[in-house]
Amino acid sequence: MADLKEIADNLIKGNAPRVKELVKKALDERVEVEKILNEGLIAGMDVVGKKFQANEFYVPEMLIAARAMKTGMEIIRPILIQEDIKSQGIVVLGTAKGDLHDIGKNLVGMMLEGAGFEVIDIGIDVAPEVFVQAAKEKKAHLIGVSALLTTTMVSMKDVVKALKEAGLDGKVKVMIGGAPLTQNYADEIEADGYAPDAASAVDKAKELLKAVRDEIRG
Amino acid sequence: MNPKERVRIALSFEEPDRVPVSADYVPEIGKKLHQRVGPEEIDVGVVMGNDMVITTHGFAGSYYLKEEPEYYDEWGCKWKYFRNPSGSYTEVIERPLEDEKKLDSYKIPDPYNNRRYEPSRQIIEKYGKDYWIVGAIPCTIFEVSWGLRGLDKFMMDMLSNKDFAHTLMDKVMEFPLVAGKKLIELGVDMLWTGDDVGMQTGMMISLALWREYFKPRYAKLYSEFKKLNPSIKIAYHSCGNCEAILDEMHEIGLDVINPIQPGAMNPAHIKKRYGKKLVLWGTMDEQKILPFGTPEEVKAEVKRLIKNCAPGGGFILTPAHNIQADTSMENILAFYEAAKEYGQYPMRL
Repeated sequence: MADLKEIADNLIKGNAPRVKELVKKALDERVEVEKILNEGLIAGMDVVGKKFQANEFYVPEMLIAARAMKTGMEIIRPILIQEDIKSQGIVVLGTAKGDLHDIGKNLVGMMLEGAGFEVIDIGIDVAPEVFVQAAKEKKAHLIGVSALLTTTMVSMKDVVKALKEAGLDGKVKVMIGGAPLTQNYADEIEADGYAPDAASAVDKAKELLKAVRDEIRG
Repeated sequence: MNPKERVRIALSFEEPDRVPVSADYVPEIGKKLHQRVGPEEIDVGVVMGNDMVITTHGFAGSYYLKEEPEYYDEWGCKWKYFRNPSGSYTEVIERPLEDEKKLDSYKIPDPYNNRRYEPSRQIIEKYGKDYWIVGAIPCTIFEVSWGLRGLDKFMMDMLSNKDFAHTLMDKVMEFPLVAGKKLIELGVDMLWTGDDVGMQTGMMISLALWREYFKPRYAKLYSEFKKLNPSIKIAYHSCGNCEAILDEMHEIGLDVINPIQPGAMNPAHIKKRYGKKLVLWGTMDEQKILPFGTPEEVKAEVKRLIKNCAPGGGFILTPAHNIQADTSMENILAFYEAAKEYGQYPMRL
């Protein structure tokens, strides 16, 4: 019998080969794919996020857990698409114009994926209009912008502005993060949200998209 | 009192004539300052009021190494300039050890070549009598390891590919070990090591991993350096909050902690808790006040930091990173002016 908790436990340990094996086994035994996703993979990543917030896990532990999650997702993604199972929301993610530092952005992406969001990572050094274009094309619900430098964080306000100019403010939320960022700065540039770390970013994204998500889920 | 003596006394946990000060700059700021104070000086910081002169070796020297838009460094990394609204930053875009199989044949740059140290020798000759000379070998072990391999990959290696991670770290640490000894022989007053292990919110890696990978290697470096010259001072840099390792760094021979990034660690708390055994070098906020504050706010912050951290010596006031291109000349001048105005011993703040 497939044991979904065993999938979660191996994901938490970052044992990617074992997660792959167990997800395959569960599918072979005809366990519902949504159940594998929610009670295996997402349940595991939820524990990882909590351990990170409690200083039991650090970045390396998160990275190997996310690698295991990804291995599992690769197997079930085609089936999720085939069965038209909707994600928690679509997030476009990138670093601010001129900023190359992407470890924070990557961690946020991993944690969001791990919580069931569809993450479209558009990479580093992203111009404001490219964020908006990607959000339009991918029908995203949320844009996440990350910056390490004070010299690049200033372009975040242009993302908010470009979104307004495209008539998408309110429809697409903007969330910001990175070392020099604060809630105050988010308020000042009228971004919808700020999170101090990757695990909190998931809570913030859920909060921001609650209304949208209820709509998606019908 | 000359700057060298000023720093020496502060590092002995005594009060010199005033709080020593230093700052480093990104190239855009360096150029602007050169235009103000004249290009004939090798070290523009000295003219601005720095009490120390820094001479750098190793991977840290690869940042802004060349003016071409893309360039290779001697470690085999390909770098690229990325523009931002006020300047530029260089970052690695191609790494020689993305494929782990290449480690066996990988060779670090030759640290034994004496020609490499000629600029340091000249700096010591020119400034060594009057200024505190810092031989800098930051990006000491971890940052060069992940620079060659990729940060995500190397951090995963530390958990699930341990032999590889240990072998890579052993290989790269030959450079700082040799370069540090060469710099000691040339006559630097202090060696500045460093590897960023902190984030804004706390340690990036667990204490268990730090003890496995970092502590024994740093202990070896520091003991070899002090064996060669028992009076050499050793500094360590980590951005972010690295309070978790300070006691153990002191235990293996650390003298000076830099930069006590104030958005991540409270300098007043660090002074209270570690100020009798570790010298604080840094503390000036660069995530908010220096780039975005007014000159008055900069001065008020300098005053506050001196009041909290300067009593009894053991303090060098310095911005928590090299001054970034978005910082105004007024704020840079305000920083130096306030340091001199409020930094006088005996303190009256």
